[in-house]
Amino acid sequence: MNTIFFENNPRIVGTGTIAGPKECAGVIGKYVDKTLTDDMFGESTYEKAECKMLSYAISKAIENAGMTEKDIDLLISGDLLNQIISASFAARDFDFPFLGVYGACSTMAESMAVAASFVNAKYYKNIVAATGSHFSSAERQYRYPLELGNTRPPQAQWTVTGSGGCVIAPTGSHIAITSATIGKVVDYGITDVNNLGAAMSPSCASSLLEHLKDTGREPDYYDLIVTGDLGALGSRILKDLTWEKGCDIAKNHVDCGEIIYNVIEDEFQGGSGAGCSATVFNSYLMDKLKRRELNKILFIATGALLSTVSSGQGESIPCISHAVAIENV
Amino acid sequence: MNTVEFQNKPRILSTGTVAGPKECAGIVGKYVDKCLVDDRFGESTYEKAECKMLAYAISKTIENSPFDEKGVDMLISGDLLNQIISASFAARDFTMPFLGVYSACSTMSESMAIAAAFVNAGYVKRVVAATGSHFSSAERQYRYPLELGNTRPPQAQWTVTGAGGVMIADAGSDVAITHATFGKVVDFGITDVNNMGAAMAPDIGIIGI
Repeated sequence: MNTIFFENNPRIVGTGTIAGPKECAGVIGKYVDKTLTDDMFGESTYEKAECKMLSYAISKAIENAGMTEKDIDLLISGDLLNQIISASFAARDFDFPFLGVYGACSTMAESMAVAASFVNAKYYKNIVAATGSHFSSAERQYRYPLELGNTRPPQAQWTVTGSGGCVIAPTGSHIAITSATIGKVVDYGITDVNNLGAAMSPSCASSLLEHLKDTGREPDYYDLIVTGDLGALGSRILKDLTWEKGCDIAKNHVDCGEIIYNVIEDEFQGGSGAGCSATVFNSYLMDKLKRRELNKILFIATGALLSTVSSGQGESIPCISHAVAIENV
Repeated sequence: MNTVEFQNKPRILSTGTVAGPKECAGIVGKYVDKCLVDDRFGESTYEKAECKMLAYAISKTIENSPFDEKGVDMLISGDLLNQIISASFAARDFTMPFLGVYSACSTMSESMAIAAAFVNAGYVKRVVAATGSHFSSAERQYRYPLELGNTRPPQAQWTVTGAGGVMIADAGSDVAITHATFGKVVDFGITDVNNMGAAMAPDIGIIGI
């Protein structure tokens, strides 16, 4: 049993989101709190811009929850940069305790799962879970200097420039986190760092099947099974992998990475990065939940746990996915 | 109130530890489960050695308890390397769910605090919390290539080569975790990366055992 059931139904009472110009041209544009016209956000480096976006998402989530900083008991956050510097430096701006987590692009679901666990157990009242990413800081850390102008292979994805956060509290909305399935590390031996969809989909299938088994639910229990950033290819692989196990998700599965961009040009398979699922969930999907256009969502953020060092030393790519069930109650 | 009180008193059931030759010459030498004579632990790189030490500490923690791997519900771990690769790759060797955490050298108390919180709430029965580091992988990631032979300033410290884990369970020992205080990020403006003691002292995270 890898699923934790939250019988006190911790609620999502407010969200805050921000995204770059390319992202806001797509589906989330109408829903985010702030659209950047300048992806440097007035800062001198991309890393500082990423940190400032995360800080903005945290502040905005608190404001949208109708709270002040004093009401917040804990921040749970992480990001893609070495030593999660965006989260740590953003946390420095706030006067509440901080729990740093790392699950690569699965960070949104991981931080929400831990936050819901703590609120459900009444350890704390109001917790902020947040994460983000930036195309330019990720590119130069994980891949090549942007100035090199490397071409990208067709299986590649595009790291989302954006941040999202939510406040989780014991009461105050009809949107509840009802259970969370903590993922196992799964590695099918993929070594192509440009094909993270293929690397991550087996871990996503593992967590999804584990969740359905633990809860005794069929896939059609959910209005939407939304994955983090598998991309178009990874999403197809996930459907195949679950189909093989007798679980058909073709009707109600969608991937944040596949839908985030308006026109797929250089983005190829779609968006990726911790900010991808964080912005899509906390803006677009939360709006649908608030309006009750969607009532039951299984949110599975997917993370590739590689580093440039591990790949350089010939390792394959271990991946993890955490699933969080969000329901209107 | 930043402190969580654990009313059900989750217990520390067992531990597992491994350390390098320099570390074992000191106070921990008599107590660790394994003293390495070779700080590469038979691996081809320091990073792989660090990962293997962490996997050893996790396995040994489980072995030192009355349970086997199937009896462990969750692993909570992190380390100092970029993207916490030691923890992630060590977790690949095990079948239990994994929660990755990062808070640099405070990872041991962070992972113990979350583990105790989960056990206390009855979400899981047994959790392994573990972390580790390696002098040579940390040195070349955070500082300089070892081959450069840079001198170190007197305020510098030496990264420990070692890994340790604990199993936290709902019952089974007389050592309990009673409270945890989650720390705030504190920055007094220290910029000397060789003086971590001065940078870290203003910030205190406490775990009551």
